[in-house]
Amino acid sequence: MKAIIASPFLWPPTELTYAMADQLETILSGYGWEVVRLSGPQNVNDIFAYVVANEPDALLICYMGHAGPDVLLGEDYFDVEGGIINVPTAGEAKTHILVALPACLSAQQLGPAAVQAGAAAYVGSQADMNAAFPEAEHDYMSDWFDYTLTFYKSLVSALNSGSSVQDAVAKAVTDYQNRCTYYMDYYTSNLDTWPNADFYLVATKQNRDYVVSLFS
Amino acid sequence: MATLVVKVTDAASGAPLPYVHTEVDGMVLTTGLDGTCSFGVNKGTTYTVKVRAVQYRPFSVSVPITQDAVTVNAQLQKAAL
Repeated sequence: MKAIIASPFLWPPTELTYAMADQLETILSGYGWEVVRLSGPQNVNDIFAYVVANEPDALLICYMGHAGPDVLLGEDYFDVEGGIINVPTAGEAKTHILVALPACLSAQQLGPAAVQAGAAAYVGSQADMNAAFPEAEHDYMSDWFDYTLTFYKSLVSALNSGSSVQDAVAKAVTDYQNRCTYYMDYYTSNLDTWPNADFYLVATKQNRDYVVSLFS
Repeated sequence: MATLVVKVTDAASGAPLPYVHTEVDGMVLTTGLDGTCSFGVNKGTTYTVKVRAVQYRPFSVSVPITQDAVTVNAQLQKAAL
């Protein structure tokens, strides 16, 4: 199977999502998937639309970076040219599974537009998603990578096993949310001694609670 | 008594960040339009300063009060995607 990974590298904290995309590429390859990577400045609409149109057998499109309610921004941080995909161009996602994780807000408008235009599924957040960083007392970034990549591992594992798109996505969201909960419990147990645990507890809860899956 | 001033700015632009939750050992203030707030503290004591702003990386630091006026520059890094 094949996936397209779109990972802009433009504005903090995309240096972290870019590194996460590197890990995702390795993980997908480990599951036997072929990966087409859009790196850095390739994350503009013209190139995205061309690649998606020329990779009809790419079952999965993964986006990691900045987004808004109606757009995945890619390298177009100020949304001057409509990002790499937005509501008017949502049909360019065709019949693929489009996952915007981690990315802010895109399940509000872009997600419904994409599935209405024919995407097999859309996974994204209805709220802001927060990056996590390695702090002095604990490496919260490592946890964030782990629970986010748990989603993708679960998804491709289920698809490899022959699960339907709906079942595979539903299982991946559940596994993702359970992993978030695991880290939330971990932070709660360290609230008294880790000075930044309060922030990351709330951030992880937000990253967990507003992720939704949509289907055509 | 001494004064602990917390100055909160956006790390990328240097712009002051107003209305930011700032906490010093349980005392809570919100930054003004200039991105600063001032706490009355005891000289010779070490305090933990925490700054929490929506869409920004948390900022926490221990600050020993060795002078009558101490300033902490909290340059916040974007966390929201």
